[in-house]
Amino acid sequence: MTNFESMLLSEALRVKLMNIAMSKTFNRFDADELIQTTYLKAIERQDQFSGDKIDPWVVTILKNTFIDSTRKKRPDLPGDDLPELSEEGDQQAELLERDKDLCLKKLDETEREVIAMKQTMSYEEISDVLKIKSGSVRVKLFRAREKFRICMGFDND
Amino acid sequence: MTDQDKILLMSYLDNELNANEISEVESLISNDSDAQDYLNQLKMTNNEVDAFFSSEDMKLLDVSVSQFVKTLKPVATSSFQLGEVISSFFFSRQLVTYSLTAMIFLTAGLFYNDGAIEELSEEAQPILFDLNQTLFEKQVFKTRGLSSEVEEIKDLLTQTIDEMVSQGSAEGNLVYGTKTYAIFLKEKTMKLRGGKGCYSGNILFNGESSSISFCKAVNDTSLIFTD
Repeated sequence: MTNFESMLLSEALRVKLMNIAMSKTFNRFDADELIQTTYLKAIERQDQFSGDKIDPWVVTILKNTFIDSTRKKRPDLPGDDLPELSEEGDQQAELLERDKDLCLKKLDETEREVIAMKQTMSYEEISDVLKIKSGSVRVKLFRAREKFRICMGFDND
Repeated sequence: MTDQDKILLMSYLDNELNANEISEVESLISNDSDAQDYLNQLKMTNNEVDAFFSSEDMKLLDVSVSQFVKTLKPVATSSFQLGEVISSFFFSRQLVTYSLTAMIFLTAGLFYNDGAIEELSEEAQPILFDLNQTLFEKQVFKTRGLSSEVEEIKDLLTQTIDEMVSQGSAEGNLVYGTKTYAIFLKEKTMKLRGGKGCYSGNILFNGESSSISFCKAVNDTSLIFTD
């Protein structure tokens, strides 16, 4: 296996892509499709990759692929993103789950992205991918978490 | 407490501070009850975010993506095979939305077991269509409620096409209760070991046609609705 292939097919990159894809699609089927398309595009365009860090390059492919796919889809209608509550299930748990999803959806694209990236990446790695300073990553992450914290009602203010 | 303090507390939980900053934060936590409260709120926030990224859906996604990545390993070593995979992938991904009855959805990805793809020379070898026009028929009586019908039809269609391929039939009918699905396999798109392979075609139901891609390998079978 070439160096490119071992970097591309590494577990670390796979997990990063999963987190980012899920933070964008909120749906494992769409995330799955997005990731598979990303891998195939990366393989197809491997001649365009230069450098020793593949993660930022592949993440950019994923982000562009997502943008392309959302352009083709119809806009969400109000209520589209609300999961149905089961009649017999644990509604309390489902409501909490729904809160969490809704609060994450209320964040803007970059805020969700940065939260997803932080699951597996350091500030420095995120700054490499987003091509911004590490200090800016810290501030973006802070703002994103603040929004989420307040939305979830964890603030006592 | 300032935003700067809050950012320090957040970075503290993220293990992103140097020794001096850690001392500063720990002093803040021990002297400021607001900082302690905020730290707890941040922990709750992080727990909820972690829960989202370790949900059941994420686990299922992990299984699916891992399987896909595994199939790429042998493929990525040969540009010829890679071309086949990419063209086949995009052929089938043109239309991942589809409708059959209410909606049959699926996640089946292309799968390629290690070494499952037959070695082909660089010279283009035509893939012969190895099915004949014999009509295969399968009748199934409805036994389940409406809620599982979509899943059942998906399974039955996969099963029917699998049997069609095994018997060498390019055309088949699946009669499910009062509904009839007419299946046509038109082209063999990929050869796999053991006489297995991938086929494209379409399914007619209720006057509507849905394009499909079906693959059968030694240990796996998948059906993708591409239309």
